Amino acid sequence: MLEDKVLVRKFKSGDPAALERIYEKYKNDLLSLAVSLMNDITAAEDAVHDVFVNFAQSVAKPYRIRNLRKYLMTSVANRVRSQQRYMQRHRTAGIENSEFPSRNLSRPERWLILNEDLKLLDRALAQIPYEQREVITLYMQGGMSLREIARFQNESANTVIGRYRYGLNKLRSLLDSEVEK
Amino acid sequence: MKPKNGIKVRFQRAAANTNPQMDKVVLEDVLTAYSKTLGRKSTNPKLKIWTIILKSPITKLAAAVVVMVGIVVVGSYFTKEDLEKVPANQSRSKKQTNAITSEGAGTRTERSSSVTKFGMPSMAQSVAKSSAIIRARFLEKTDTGRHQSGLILSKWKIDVIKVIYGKVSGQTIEVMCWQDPEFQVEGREAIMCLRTIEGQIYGTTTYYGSLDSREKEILEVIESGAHLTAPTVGTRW
Repeated sequence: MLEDKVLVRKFKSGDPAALERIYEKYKNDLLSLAVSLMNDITAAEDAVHDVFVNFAQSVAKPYRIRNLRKYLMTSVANRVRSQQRYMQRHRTAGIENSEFPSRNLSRPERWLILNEDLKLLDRALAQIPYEQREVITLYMQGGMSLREIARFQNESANTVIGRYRYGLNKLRSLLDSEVEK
Repeated sequence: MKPKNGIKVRFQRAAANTNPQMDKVVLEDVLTAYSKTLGRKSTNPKLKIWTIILKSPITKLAAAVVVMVGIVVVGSYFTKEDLEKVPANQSRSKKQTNAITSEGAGTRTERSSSVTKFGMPSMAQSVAKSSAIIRARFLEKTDTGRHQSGLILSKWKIDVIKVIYGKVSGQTIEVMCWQDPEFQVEGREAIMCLRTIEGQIYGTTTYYGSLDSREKEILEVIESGAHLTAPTVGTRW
């Protein structure tokens, strides 16, 4: 936490080493979160790439970052949301040919490498509704409290607790059935 | 709310790793964006000041206070200017008249009988270019109110141009003249002046009607100039 504050201060004062450290520290967590939310590795990579680029550009913006981890996690969740909205709008036009900027980035190799546990979890999460998935992943992987998630989703705390409970039950049964197979 | 251990462990075990080559590519993108933004940021010092102001609630409050004080100062300046330009029935002259009416009416000699009304006497012409206010009152031997009148005049920042002491029907009269080009007494204000000891040299003989014998005597005193020296404040004379 203290390290994060120092990093943010250095980052704001124009130290590229601080940005590099932030990137190294959080890239894996952000990628895990993004892939859990999106169930699409390419889209998750693009989302995290965009989040880091936007974060780098935010050095000129006046707002203060109180909690770097939560800030980045929320940024990823917002980015995922806007990508999904975009994809929903262009579903009829064909996603493959979409003009969403980050999707057109050509990369020679895959950035993200998932372990078996994450793959299994990812498959199970894909089967629960997005709102429930968002609550569970932000809580479990993002380290956010349910109250913070409620604020983020613009819902009451009870709604978020309900989503968490239903989502968790469903996830448990899905994971159990996966293990049985 | 605590999740079941199994799920929690699964989330802990689920990890993403990255390809080091791609890491470098992405990091390069990020650092390029960073350096470009820093380059733009340094060219705009105004934004930096606003950033500092908006960052801290204390500086934000201080900036708001400074703006408010500025508005009040500028506002009061213009109000003062306007006050000096508005017609007499809303002006400082009226306030002065009211003040002297209420505050200066404490002495026994300030009665309706001491009210004077004048035409444009020659003496007054010399002291009053456009118009002047004359305060004429009879002084009694026990009167110490002159001092009080002086305080009121200084309080209301009235610069007395000339003070004349004379005798009317054996009584000492004190006449003070001060100038106020904006002072225009009309209608009810004129009646108010008559009831107190303010008069106006403005060629208003016809307005107020003809002078009675005592007023003529006062006018003669004014026209002839000073006869007596000022009585000592607070002493019998």
